[in-house]
Amino acid sequence: MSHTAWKVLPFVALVTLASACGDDAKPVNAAEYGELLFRDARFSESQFNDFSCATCHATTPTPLNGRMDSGYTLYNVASRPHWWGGYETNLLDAVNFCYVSFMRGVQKLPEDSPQSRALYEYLVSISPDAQAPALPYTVVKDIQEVPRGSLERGQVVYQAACQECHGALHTGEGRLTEMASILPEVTHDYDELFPGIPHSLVVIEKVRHGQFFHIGGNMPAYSLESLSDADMGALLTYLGL
Amino acid sequence: MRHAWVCALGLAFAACSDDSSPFDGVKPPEGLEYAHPEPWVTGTGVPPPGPGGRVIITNSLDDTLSLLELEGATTPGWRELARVPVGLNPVELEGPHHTAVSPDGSHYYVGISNYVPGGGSGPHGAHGSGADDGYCLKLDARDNRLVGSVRVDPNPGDVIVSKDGNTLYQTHFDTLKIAEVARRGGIEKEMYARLAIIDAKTMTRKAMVDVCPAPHAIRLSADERTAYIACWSDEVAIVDLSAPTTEAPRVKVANNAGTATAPRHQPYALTMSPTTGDVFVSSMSSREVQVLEARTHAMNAARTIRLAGSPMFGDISADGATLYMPYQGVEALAIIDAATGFIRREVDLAPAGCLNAHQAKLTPDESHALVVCEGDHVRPGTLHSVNLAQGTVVNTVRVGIFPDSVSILRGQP
Repeated sequence: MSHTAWKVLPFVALVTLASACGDDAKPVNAAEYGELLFRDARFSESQFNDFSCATCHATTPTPLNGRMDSGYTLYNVASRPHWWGGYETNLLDAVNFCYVSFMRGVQKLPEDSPQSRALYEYLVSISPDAQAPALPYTVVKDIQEVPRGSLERGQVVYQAACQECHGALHTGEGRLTEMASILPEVTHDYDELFPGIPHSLVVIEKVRHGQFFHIGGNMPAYSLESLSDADMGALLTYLGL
Repeated sequence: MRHAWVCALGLAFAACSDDSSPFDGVKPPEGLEYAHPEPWVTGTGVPPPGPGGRVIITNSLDDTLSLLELEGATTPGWRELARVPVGLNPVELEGPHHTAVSPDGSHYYVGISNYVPGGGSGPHGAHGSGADDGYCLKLDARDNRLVGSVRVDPNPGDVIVSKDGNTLYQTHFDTLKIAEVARRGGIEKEMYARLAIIDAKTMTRKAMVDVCPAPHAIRLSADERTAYIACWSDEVAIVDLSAPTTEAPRVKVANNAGTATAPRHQPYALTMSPTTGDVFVSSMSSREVQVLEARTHAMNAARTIRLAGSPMFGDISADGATLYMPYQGVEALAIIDAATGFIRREVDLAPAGCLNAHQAKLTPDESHALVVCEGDHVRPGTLHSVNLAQGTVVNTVRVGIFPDSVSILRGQP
C-alpha cells in the first residue's frame, strides 16, 4: 500500500465506523429490551440469583420440548383477568411476587422504571388475544404420599421439570445454581433433619410447597396444574424414593 | 504512523462494538421507545369508592375482602361489588382479621393473623396455626393495592385508627401463648400479649406495649389519651397512651371473674358510648354485656345486660342512647337502652341465614344496621342490612368464608 493510501484509508474507515455507530442511536423498541430482561438473570440485582423469568415460564402457546415449568406459559399473560389463581389482580403485583420471591429481587419493580415498562411491553407483545381465560392454581396444602409411577415417565419428568435447576441425577452436572440441591443425594440428610419421616414425603413437600409454608430457599411451588400427582409418583420412582 | 492508525482504528472498532448492543442486562439503553404510554394497566380493577361510601368485610378463611357500595344497603337487591384478594402471599392462606379505615377515606388497614386452621401441613409442620408473626397491611382505597405493611406479633386481633388517621392500634389475641405458658407452668405475666402502636403514614412500629393475656377489642376515649382493651383474663386493661410503657391497670369485669387459663366471662368485644365514654364489654361465655364507666374506671355491675347468647361487636347511636348488640346462639340483634340496659327489641337474624353473628355497624344515617355473620366457617358467611325502624332484614348478601368484621369507608380517597 502506498504512503498516500495509508493517509486516506484510515479516515474513510473511521467515517464509515462513525456512521455505523450512529445507526445505534436509533430508538430502541422497549419490547425487545423487555425480552432480553425476561431472559437475563441479571434483571434481578441480587448477587445470589441465577433465575430469569424464562427459567420458569415459556412464552409460546404451549411449552416447547416438553418443558414442565412450575409457572404457566406467559403467552397471553397480559390478557388474563387475574393471576396466581385469582390471588393477584394486578399484573405488576403478580410479576413482583415472582421477582422478589424467586429471583431474590431486592425491591419490587416500580410501575414506571424503564426496566419495568420494557418488561410490560414484552409481556403485552406475547399476548396477542384481547382476552384470555384465567388459569387455575391449586396449591397442595397438606402433604401426603402418592402412588408411584413408572421409571421411564419419572425420567421424562425429571428432565422436563427438575434438571434445568438441579442438573444431572446424582452429580448435579449442569445445574443452574450451586444452591440447587443434588438429587436425590440431598435426602441423605433427611434422617437427621426429619427423623422418622419418609424421605419421599419431604421431597413431595419441597416440590409442592417450594419456599413457602415455613420451608425457605427460593424454589417455586409446583401446583397440581403444573405437576400431577401421577407425575409426582413417577418422579419419586426415578429418584429411588 | 501506520502503527498509530491501526491502534486508533482498533480502539474505534472496540468502542463501536461496545456500544453496538444497547442492552447490558440491567442498565436500560438510551431512547427506549414505548408502545404503551400507560404501563401495567391490565388486570381486574374495581371502581374507586364513590361519595356514598363503601363497605369492607374481611373474610378470614379465604384471604379476601368483600366490597359493597353502601348506597345499595337500604333497598332490596344489594350485592357484592367485588371480592378481592388480600395479603402478602398468593400461595398461602394468611387469615385477614379486622379492618380500620382512615378518616379521609384514602386508605384502609387489615390485620393479617396467619391463623387459618388447616392452612397447610407437611414434614416442616403445620401452617396457619397462629404461631407466625402477624402483619398490619395498608391498602389504597382507590385500587385496593398494598402500599405498606408492618410486621407485628402473632395473632393480631383488633385494629383501630386515631381520629387524625396518623396512628394505628393493633392488639394480639394470642390465646396460643396462654396455652403454651400454662403448659410449662409459667406465670400469667408471661402470657401477656402486646399492643402495637403503629405510625400509619410510614407503617413503622412506634411502640409495642405489654397489655394482658390475649387482648382483643380496643377502643379509644374521646380525647384519645386512654385505650380500653378487652382481655381474655376476664379483665379490661386501661392503657394510658401518654405513658404506654407503664403497666396498665386492669379491671375485672365481674366479682366472679376467672383467670387467663380459666376465664368465666371471656371478654372479647367492646362498644364505646360517644357521649359518656362508658365501655360496653361483650363477654362471650357469660353472655353478659358489662359496663365499665369512664368516669370512675370501674365496672358497674348494676348495669350488666344479660342476653340469650354471646354478645359480640356492637354499635351505638351518635346520641349515645341506643346500643345495638348482635349476639350468637340465638343469632339476633338486640336493641338496648344504653342508659338502663333495657332491651327494647330484638331482631331475629337466623331466619335470614345468619349463623354466628359477629359485628353490627350502623349506617351513617343510623337507619340501618349492617350485621356480619361468620357462617359455619366452611361455607360463605353473610352480611345483613337491618331496617331498624321496622325491625326487618332488608338484604342478605353472601360473602366469603368466616367474615369477621364490617367497616364503612367514607370520604373520597
